[in-house]
Amino acid sequence: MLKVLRSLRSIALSWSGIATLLLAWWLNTRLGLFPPQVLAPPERVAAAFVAGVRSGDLARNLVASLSVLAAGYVIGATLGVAFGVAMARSRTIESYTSGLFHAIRQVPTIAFIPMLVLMFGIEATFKIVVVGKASFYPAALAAYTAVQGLPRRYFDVADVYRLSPLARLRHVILPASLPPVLTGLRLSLSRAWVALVAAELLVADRGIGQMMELGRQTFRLDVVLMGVVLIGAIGFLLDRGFKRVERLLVRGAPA
Amino acid sequence: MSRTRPEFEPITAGRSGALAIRAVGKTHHIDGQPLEVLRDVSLDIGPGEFVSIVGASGCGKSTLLRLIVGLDNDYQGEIRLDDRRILSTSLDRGIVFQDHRLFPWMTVEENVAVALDRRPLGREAKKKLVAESLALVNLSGFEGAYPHQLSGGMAQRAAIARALINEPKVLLLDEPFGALDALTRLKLQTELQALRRRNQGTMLMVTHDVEEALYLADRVVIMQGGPGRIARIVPVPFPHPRDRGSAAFARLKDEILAELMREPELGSAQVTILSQDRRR
Amino acid sequence: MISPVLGGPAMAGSHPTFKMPRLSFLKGLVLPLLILVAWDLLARRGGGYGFAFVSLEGLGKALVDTIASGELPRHVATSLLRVAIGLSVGGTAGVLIGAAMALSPIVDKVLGPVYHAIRQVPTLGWIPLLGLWFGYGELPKDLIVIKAAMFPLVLNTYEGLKGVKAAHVDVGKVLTLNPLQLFFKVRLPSALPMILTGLQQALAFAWIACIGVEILFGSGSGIGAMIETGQVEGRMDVVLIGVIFVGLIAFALTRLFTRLAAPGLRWRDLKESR
Repeated sequence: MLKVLRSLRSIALSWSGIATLLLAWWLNTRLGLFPPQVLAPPERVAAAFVAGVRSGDLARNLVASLSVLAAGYVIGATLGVAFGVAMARSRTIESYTSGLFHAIRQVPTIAFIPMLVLMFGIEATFKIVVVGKASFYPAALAAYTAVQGLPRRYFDVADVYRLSPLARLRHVILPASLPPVLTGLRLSLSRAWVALVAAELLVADRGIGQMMELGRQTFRLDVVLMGVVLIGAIGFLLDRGFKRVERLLVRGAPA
Repeated sequence: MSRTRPEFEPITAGRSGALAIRAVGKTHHIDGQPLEVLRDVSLDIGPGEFVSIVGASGCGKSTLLRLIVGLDNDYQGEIRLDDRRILSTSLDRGIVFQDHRLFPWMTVEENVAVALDRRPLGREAKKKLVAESLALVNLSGFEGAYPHQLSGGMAQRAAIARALINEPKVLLLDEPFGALDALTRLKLQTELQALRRRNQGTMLMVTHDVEEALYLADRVVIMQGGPGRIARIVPVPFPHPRDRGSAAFARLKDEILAELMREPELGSAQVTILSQDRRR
Repeated sequence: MISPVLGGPAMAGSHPTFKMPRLSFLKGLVLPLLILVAWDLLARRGGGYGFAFVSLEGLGKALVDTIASGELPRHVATSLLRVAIGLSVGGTAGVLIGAAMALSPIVDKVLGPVYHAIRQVPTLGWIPLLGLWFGYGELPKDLIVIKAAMFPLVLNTYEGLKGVKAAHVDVGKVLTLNPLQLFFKVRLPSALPMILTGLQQALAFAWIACIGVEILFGSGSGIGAMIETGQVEGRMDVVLIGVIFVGLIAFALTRLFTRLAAPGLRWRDLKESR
């Protein structure tokens, strides 16, 4: 009985913070402390969401954002892993490229956006390049570190049992480097999402970020708030989904 | 903190302490399941005496030390030091753990000095005390070293210096040399014996090394597991310095080892539970 | 997970005698030079790309101009000031909140979910909202940078203090330290490396967020604003100078931090910290 009470108290506590925020929001609009242009009431945000779903606007913007995300991510992450492995395996490649690689790494993706606008305009190509750049770095770094950091003793074991190169790849290199590479790919995905939202907020023809920016220009606070919730939710779901995949792929490996 | 008259007159000569352990029992709760680790443990240790507890891992000997040092006061029975009930930690009691537990962010000097934090002493006095206690364990010259720069034996010496600097009435040693290599262990045993001649404090050491216990202790307490209790107390009659190679020493060692091996469920409490299951 | 993989080859640490040969440094320059030459050629040829590419000569001239006019130093100073404000306000708040969450289970229960909910939205995603609320002045920009600096420090302070070994706390108790002494002598120093890592991330995030808000707000002063104005005016030279300075300052800040943080981490065994 006591146990039930204690766990109830714990659940109540962990919801109390968020509940207080929501209540304050609701009360604010109820009491009219802030005009709706400053703080749209929750039901207005929900209505904006329903209206967006009905008209198909929301779906169009979502599809626009997510397809760019998918294309840019696949390109950027694939190139990143390939480049990271190449840099780790070949001293030559490393010595020629690492200078440029680390120099560009100093500049956050967001700072490249205006330059890329000048080079590629504001349509899909531009956004794919932004997403690709954002996904490239974490993937490349993770692949480089993972392959470079394979402990020598693993290869000692492989030597003792005279494993063939193929068996080495299958039983040693891949499983040992997979977990950190996957973690890097997950980081790539979340960076890519952030970069895409930033790009769309700045300039774009469509997408979730552009929807929010339009909402801001037209003082539609409900649309802006809905956008905030949406980008948070999408980011969260992408990360969760990837973690699921990670767990399926690396069973038995320490997280 | 009641001050009832003790059954014997406490000889609080200098800094020695008399330890009275009366009918102590302790039960851990793991995921709500009770696990009895100590049952009805009673032991009197006189001032200045060196007592060693031997027993297999899991027999509750380290738990007993945690209770005596005052890190845990949730137990049955009572533990008194010079007739004062032990309720929490105090500078009366020092402890050396198996892992040295020096703070990695402090130098050797700072690690020893932190034990003086609660003492109303001037900076100079503290400095002097630290230097003395480091000299006592042959660590002069390593004041500025960080723990990761020390060998296992040196780190353990620093831990001993930290435990002794307040001149505790009782020094507790929880398998202090268990993690060291055999040669360093022998060396530190000899050093501890030498320290003891200078320091009048009572010492209680837990170990699973029977030879170590016999080399150092006045009495050896044999504990059995599941739940932990005292099986036998063996007085060690040899004068110091002891000769590990003597026939009498070897005989006593064999006797204690035989006692330890006797119980089939000597291992942990879990082993006992398993064998009980099988009997059913 | 933002562990900085420092430049150069990873083996430099394990073999102190091994140094990267000079030759390899020269090799590292080959690619950037090739790109510069190609860039310059494209710019000179003009044509369809003349708008996007600017010649090296033009770039150099623009650099001299922007420095001479005091424009570039002014923008740099604004951005650095913004990061300083963000780090001091956001950093302090982050450490305090993280510590409160680590030390009090109730605070942890109440604030934890709110923290993680807010964390889901990328920092720059808050810009339209803050723009609506606070207009286009410096306040919304500073708030974003404060938020960017605060969040990693909340998490790292929390994790650092939660990760303090019970064995070390026990030693403190054996030495009869009071709770305050226990905090300052045991818990805080033990958590310090983690907190410093958080500070390093806070620095990086604050810089990114600073450039980001300045670009997205596009008004006022700051390197980001300079880049964005350059883009709107089609001045690739100005944009490029801005980008280069963003990178140089990021590099310098990281270096400076590592320098300053090193003494606080002297006690750490390299083998353990890995």
